[in-house]
Amino acid sequence: MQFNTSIAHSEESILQTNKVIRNTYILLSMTLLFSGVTAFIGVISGAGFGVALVVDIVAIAMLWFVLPRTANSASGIPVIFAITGLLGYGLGPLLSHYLAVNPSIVMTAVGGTGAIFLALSGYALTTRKDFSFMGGFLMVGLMVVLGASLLNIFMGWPALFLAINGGIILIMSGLILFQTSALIRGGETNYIMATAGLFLSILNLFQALLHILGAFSGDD
Amino acid sequence: MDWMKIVSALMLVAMMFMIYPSLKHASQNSPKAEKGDWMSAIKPLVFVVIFIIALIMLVR
Repeated sequence: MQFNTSIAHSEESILQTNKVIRNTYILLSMTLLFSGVTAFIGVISGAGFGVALVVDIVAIAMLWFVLPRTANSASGIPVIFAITGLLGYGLGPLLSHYLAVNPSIVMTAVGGTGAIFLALSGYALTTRKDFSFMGGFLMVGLMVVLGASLLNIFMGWPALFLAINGGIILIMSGLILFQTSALIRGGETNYIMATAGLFLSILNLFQALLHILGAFSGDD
Repeated sequence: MDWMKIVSALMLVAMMFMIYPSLKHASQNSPKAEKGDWMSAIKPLVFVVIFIIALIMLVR
């Protein structure tokens, strides 16, 4: 009897986990599509870097203060779309810059980001390994990258800029493994928060890859 | 110094401030890696590095 109950609980837990994974990937693809549309609007409207900075700050403030309060209800959906839409619009000036100098860089960065995300998610989903041990390491890495970015705002060293972007690519790749593993193993049960985490990893990965390709193509 | 640099710097400081509790929590509560765990994480990251090098060669 006890054995049957534990099997029922286990099946329920697997079904719940699969539902969270499915909802996360559906919402992630919809938000990525939506941010692509708003990024296009950002490009055609000719938004400047100042506007993009303000829009990004609003999006980050919503991510910190509004999303955690709404993620457990239906109002979390419009909030996540608003955040991802604003972050997409904030990409406008950067995309305009690279589209003007060499459009193939943008296409390569889009394709490269997609391939890296699919490969890493596929790896975490198929191997079902637990990457939770990486949490501390990734957070320290993120802090180091933020510190180095702060320093480089004032120093403007090109070598440090490349190193920061290389570091961002590795940290975001590690975060994709970490977040996907948390989804599979039931560490993350809220699909809106899971979508926000994966979206930010993909966005940062794309921006860092764009900067690196731009720098090495000689067009930046 | 233009306002964008100052605002960006303030934003980065705010991010570090917001991330610090997560860092503290993750460092104290993350499970210890077992034998072979790091190797299973390093393998896909090496793939990413090789792939990025290939993309750089493609755009040069």
